[in-house]
Amino acid sequence: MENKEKIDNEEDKILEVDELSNAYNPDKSSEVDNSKIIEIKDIVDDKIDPTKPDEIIEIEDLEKQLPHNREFDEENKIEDILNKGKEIKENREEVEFIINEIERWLEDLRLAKDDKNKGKGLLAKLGLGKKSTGLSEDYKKILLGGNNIAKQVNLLKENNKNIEFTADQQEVLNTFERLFEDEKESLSESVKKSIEKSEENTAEEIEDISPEQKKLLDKVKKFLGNKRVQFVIGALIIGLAVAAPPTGALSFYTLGLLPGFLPASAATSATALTSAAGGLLISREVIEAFFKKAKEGEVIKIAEPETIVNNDEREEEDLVGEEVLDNPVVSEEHQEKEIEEEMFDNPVVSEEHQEEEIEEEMFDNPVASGEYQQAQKEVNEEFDEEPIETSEPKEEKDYFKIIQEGINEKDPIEVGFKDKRTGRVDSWGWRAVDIVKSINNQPDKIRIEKKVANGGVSLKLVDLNDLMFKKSDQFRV
Amino acid sequence: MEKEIVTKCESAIEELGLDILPEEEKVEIIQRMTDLVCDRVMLKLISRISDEEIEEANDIMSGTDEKKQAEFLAIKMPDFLSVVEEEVNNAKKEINNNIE
Repeated sequence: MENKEKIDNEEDKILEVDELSNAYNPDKSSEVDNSKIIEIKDIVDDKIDPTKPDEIIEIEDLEKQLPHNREFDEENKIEDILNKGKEIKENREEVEFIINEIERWLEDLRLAKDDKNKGKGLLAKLGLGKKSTGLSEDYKKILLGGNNIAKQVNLLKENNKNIEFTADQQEVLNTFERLFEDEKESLSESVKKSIEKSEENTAEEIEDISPEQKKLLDKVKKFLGNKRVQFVIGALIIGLAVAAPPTGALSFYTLGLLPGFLPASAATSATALTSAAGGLLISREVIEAFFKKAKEGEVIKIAEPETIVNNDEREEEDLVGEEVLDNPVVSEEHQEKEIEEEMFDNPVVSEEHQEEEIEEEMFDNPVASGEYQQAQKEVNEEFDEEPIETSEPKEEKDYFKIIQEGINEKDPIEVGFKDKRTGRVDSWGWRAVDIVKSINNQPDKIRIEKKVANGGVSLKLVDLNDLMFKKSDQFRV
Repeated sequence: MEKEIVTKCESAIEELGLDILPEEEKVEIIQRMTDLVCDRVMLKLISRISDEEIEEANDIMSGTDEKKQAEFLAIKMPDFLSVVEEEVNNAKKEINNNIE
């Protein structure tokens, strides 16, 4: 454009053309054939009419006729060739450098085999000759670097780029490729052997369980397979985060997060997966989807409840309503907070907590306390023997009050649960305060029956619509 | 809706140095590890079910009421994700230690 402007200036066109010539090739201006320039100048003079923009375009065509422009093109071509040559040389130098590096390593390895003492340190450095979790970083770097070079060499050859190696270099490359393959094979084999050992141990443990337990295990296996447990496990194994929707309502009803767990990218595979016998075989596509996601740094998400709820559950949710969906009783997030605050440890899993509770108040822990179990037994015998006295609405209200006054966030009380058939007392890991909140949200769905025993008040929750509790749940305050 | 991250483990691929393996090898190893962890989680679950409960548990799990089955398992293993996480980490450690 600058040139065009200059030519637009009508004051001295000859000078401008000379300037143009110098601008293209200032060092070689003396070599330019002036007669040709004058000839072109005349053409330009005839052609140029600055009032017509179209004429300017023609000047660009004329510029191409300038001899030094042709030279410029040729120079460009030469420069391109030189650049390519330089690139090839650099590539070659890089290849040679790495080959030298590999040769040096191989030589070290050869020496290491001869020199036991030296070898000890070197082999350890390489992650060889010792019990290793795989390859050492140094060795892995060399292997990967060399492998990349081998790939580059192949690529260059595929593109008909002529890179020649000496026989020695080629031998090193071949050796390296072999070494890399051997290493991969050896790593794969040792990891698989290790897994086999663990599988054998686990199989022995399964062998040791009773036939009834084995039967149950098979059924649970099938159930969990159908619930896509392997998605969760697979995700964790390859280091993906598992995420859940904040509302944990379904979690409570349907074994934690399992039914909702469905990586979006694996939806198709999941369908096929659930129909697989036993359901425990994780499909290749799923794993590959995992890898893909892992590379992208994504989080495996648990599907929204709406996408996984069947009709029965839908109805159930409608009945329970929004308040219970957000109720902390079923919120894992809430439970996690509670754990963090050390307010309440899961009584099913925390022996430490149980011991503390026993020390503080023997009857507070329904699992650990035999006396409490005995007391519960007595209470239940009473329940069984006598017709259960159903509390009137007013009385129920009183009991809500008792619970609410007696329990606060800082003083949680565990909730006992008794299996009527076996007489076993278990714990659900809920806090009474959460149950009270549920009850308050569902006054027409929960009935409370009371009994006083061993200085404590035992309350029996009866789920009128069989919604919140499948069995009558009993706890004390 | 925002989702909370529930749990995350370090990648076995990195910890075991499997990243140099071809994809199909990695897939096979992860599959086997998944099955292994699954079995161990189930063994843990079974260990939490008493002899008295086992018959009832078998009845429940033989039925078709999935909700009831899930509820039963949820009661027995309310800490499911923690157990899985623990078993994944145990498996990785064990496999690492057993590599010769």
